Amino acid sequence: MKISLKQAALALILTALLQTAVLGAMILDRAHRLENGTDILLKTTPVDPRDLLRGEYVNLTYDMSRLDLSKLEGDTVFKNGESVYVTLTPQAPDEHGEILWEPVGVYKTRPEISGKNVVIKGYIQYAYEWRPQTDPAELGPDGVAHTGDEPTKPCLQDCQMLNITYGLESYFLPEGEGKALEEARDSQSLAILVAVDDGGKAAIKGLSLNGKLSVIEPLF
Amino acid sequence: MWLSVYRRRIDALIDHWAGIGLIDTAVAARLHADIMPKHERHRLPVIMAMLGAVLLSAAILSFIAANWNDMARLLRFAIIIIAMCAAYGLSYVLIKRNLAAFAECSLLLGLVLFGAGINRVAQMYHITAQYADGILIWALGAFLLAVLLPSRAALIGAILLGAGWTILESFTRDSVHWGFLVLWFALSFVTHRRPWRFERHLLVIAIYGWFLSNLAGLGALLNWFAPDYAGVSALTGLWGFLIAAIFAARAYAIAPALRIYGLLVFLSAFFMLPVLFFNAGTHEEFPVAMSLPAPWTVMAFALTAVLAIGATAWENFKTSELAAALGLAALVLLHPLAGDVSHIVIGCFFVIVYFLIAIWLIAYGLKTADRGIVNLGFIAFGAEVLYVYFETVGSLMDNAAFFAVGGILLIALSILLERLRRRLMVKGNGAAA
Repeated sequence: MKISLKQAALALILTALLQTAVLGAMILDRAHRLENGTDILLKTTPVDPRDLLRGEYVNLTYDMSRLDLSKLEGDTVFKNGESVYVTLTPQAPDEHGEILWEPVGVYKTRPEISGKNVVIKGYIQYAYEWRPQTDPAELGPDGVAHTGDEPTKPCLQDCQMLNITYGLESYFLPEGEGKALEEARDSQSLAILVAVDDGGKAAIKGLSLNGKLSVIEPLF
Repeated sequence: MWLSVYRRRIDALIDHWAGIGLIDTAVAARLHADIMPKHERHRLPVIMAMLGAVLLSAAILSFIAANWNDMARLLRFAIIIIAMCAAYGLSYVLIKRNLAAFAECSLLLGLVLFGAGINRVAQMYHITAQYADGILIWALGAFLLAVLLPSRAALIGAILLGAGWTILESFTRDSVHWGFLVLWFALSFVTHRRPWRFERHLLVIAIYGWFLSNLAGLGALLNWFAPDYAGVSALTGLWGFLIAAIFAARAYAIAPALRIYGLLVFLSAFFMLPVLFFNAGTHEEFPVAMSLPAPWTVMAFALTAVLAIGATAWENFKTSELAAALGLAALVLLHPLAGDVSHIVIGCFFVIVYFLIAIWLIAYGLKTADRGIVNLGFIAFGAEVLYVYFETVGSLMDNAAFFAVGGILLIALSILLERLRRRLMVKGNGAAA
């Protein structure tokens, strides 16, 4: 199938322009989020020590990475691969004077937010039943189930556990610089400054080590 | 080097023709002058310049690699864009010089750099989105190129990346990934307009890959067991074969690929059904028959009927073939109604049907002069013979005798089937197979 040289030139120029635009849009979208989003601080949690530093990035997980629905407001039944909206609320300042944000609700569609709450969008990697539903007949007069060795809080309805990703699970560093960051993460002295836009999409804006903002990401 | 060897050979031939009087000396001289390379005396400077360009490229790449982490992000981004555009620019130059194969290589390089660019930009700016989304963007970039240019590399890239995208998506979700069908139909439209057979095969493999990777998720949701997977897969293969028959009547170029892979899926899945029946006693807690709800059974049978009637209406199928297609669908869907009939009896019945299918395929392949179908028929026949041998004789003999007899039978069977296949192919085509 032959085409003229002029057609080939136009095709290649259009392709190069569009592909460049796509790559540029990735950067501009992130820059817009950093500049106009709401800043929140998230505490990192230790990662399985068997995870090695892969290449040049550090794995990050947060309290909101694994959610127990029996403790949260919102919807109750989720499937793998679904997108979710998690409501975060600011906590009281910690020993470093930092205000960390914690999850309070999980929804299938973006909820209306009130007060200082922020909504962040994520994707369910894995949704699973983690506690069997309690038979109401097994509840004692104190509202606690006594079926096992120890009394347990009843799980009558919201018995799913969700593993969620938010696009904030990796921080890329030059070779050799990840070790200190990993140690800070595992000793729970690392917090991540995140910018969240109105749609719930988030981007890493900076790193806080031992209560001090040590890295701020430039826009470009 | 090869060109100069070829020229020396031509020179020798010209001298020979002049020597035996086929051409006169004047013509021989003109022929010698014509095949002489025009710029041979400039070869050494050209080679030196090319080597210099290679060294310069290596120096630039080494400098970039050594200082990559110290460069500003925007500079790194600019390097990626320049490299990608340079690859596309080079492909234009090569197209202009009529070097189509090299132009395809350069286009492929540009696409690889686009994919690498997505990865590098994500890494530089800590954009950790769903991995499948990055593959989709890359696939769409390849698709764009395949639409605008008759590039085989771009089309193959788009199909492979699209397949990778749907496989990744199906691993992370419990629902069927319908979005892939939009991309697949768009790729089919482009492929239909190109005269390339390999890409059509790739396209059909991609759609069956989509089906199989989503089947697991669908089955998990509907609580399927092995017979349901086997039965639904067999039906899907049968539908692919019937659709191919309709397409062949309308001379759609994708028909041969759809036919062969549909048959492959059908034969592989149908093969499993008697296996499940014969092994019913080993896992008593699992059902051995399909368990589709009645509405689904009716819909599946109705779809088979529509496709089979369509294939017959376009005069590709005889009435007996229509009846056979409907019979196979009924067998797959309705065998649970056998109730208390022994699993061994049902398994034997399926084995007999399988042999009949294999024989019919050989005849059908000869009738339609399709060597692939003939070979598939022989492979199916041979595979079923081996399975029956393992299932029946295996328990009657000790290990040594079993393997010895099995080996002799296998060799004898392979010789017999190959001789029979060749004889039938010669009769069918009038030429050696």
